Amino acid sequence: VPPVPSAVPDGNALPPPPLLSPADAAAAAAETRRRLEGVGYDVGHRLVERYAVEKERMDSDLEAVKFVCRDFWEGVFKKHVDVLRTNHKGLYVLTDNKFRWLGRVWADEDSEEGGAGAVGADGAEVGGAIGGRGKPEDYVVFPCGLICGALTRLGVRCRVTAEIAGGAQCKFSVQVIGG
Amino acid sequence: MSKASLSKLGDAAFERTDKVSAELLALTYGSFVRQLLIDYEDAEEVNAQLAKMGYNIGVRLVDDFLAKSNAPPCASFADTADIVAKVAFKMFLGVPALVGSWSSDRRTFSLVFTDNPLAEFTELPEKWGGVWYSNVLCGVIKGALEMVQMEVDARFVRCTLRGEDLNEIRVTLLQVLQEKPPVDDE
Repeated sequence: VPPVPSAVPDGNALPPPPLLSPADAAAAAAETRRRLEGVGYDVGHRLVERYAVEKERMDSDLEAVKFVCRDFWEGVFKKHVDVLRTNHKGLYVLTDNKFRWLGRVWADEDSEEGGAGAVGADGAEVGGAIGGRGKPEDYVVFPCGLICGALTRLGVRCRVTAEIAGGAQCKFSVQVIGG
Repeated sequence: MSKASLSKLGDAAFERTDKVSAELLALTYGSFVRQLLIDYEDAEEVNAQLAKMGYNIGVRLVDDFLAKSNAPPCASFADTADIVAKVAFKMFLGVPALVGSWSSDRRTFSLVFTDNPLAEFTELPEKWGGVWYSNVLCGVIKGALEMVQMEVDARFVRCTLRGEDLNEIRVTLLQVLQEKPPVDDE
């Protein structure tokens, strides 16, 4: 096995982020999240059509949510949602105890958000992939869009947020809009 | 190592790798490209952004490759070409590539493949004829090889989305980098 260089060679690797005031940086981050969620929405919207093509019409929000918890989750995350709770007033909480896309992500205590971070210096650690860039919360933005896009396509207009609860456990809250 | 046994190595590495739904990959990649087209509105700029994304993926992905592929060390650039084509392409993309069209100085070769999982559902509108849709792959190759001391240039020259019957990436070795100790190494 060839030696792994311990530093990224000079030149075209990861330029440092531009210096922004905290307010501008927050606005830029929010805009980035909005776009990322939009891409997720777009994917969910189209993907669910492929999964639901042979399914019967889903008459209630609950049926659509259940479809997402089972079939859609199976297709995308290779497992089912572990716990589904609802308050019967349009709020559904989907808990995945081992959310696949957080399996190799952890909080990087040493770096501030948006910090440049040392990339490549972490050797063969696959988990070093986030290398000081971004926080675990950033990794659930896309899935939130994905779920929202899928549900909307199934006739459930909703807003989706996520909360990471230690390890790779993740709770997605689906708030149905209107009635 | 013979090409046949490299292919076997690629198959084995592919079997061991965690899989993601091909539909999810194709749709997600497509949506990202579409977002880039909206954001940058310029084919050249989108190609550059895709290559940059790929570069950042490549510099990290190479660790995974070295850790899991069991690929033998490369004694020559020709070995590198075969390993990228037979092992790395298969391991990460699920499809192997062919190596061909070596230049006379043996510093440039082509990676040729027909099936492209990234472009599964894609049609390129005429307006975006200048986009190399799968340009992320060029970046990945460049980033990954740079981590093993080879500075290369990688660029698409043919793409099935442009109506050609196969995909071709030209890879040129620019220089072999000298290994430098890390700045704060004891």
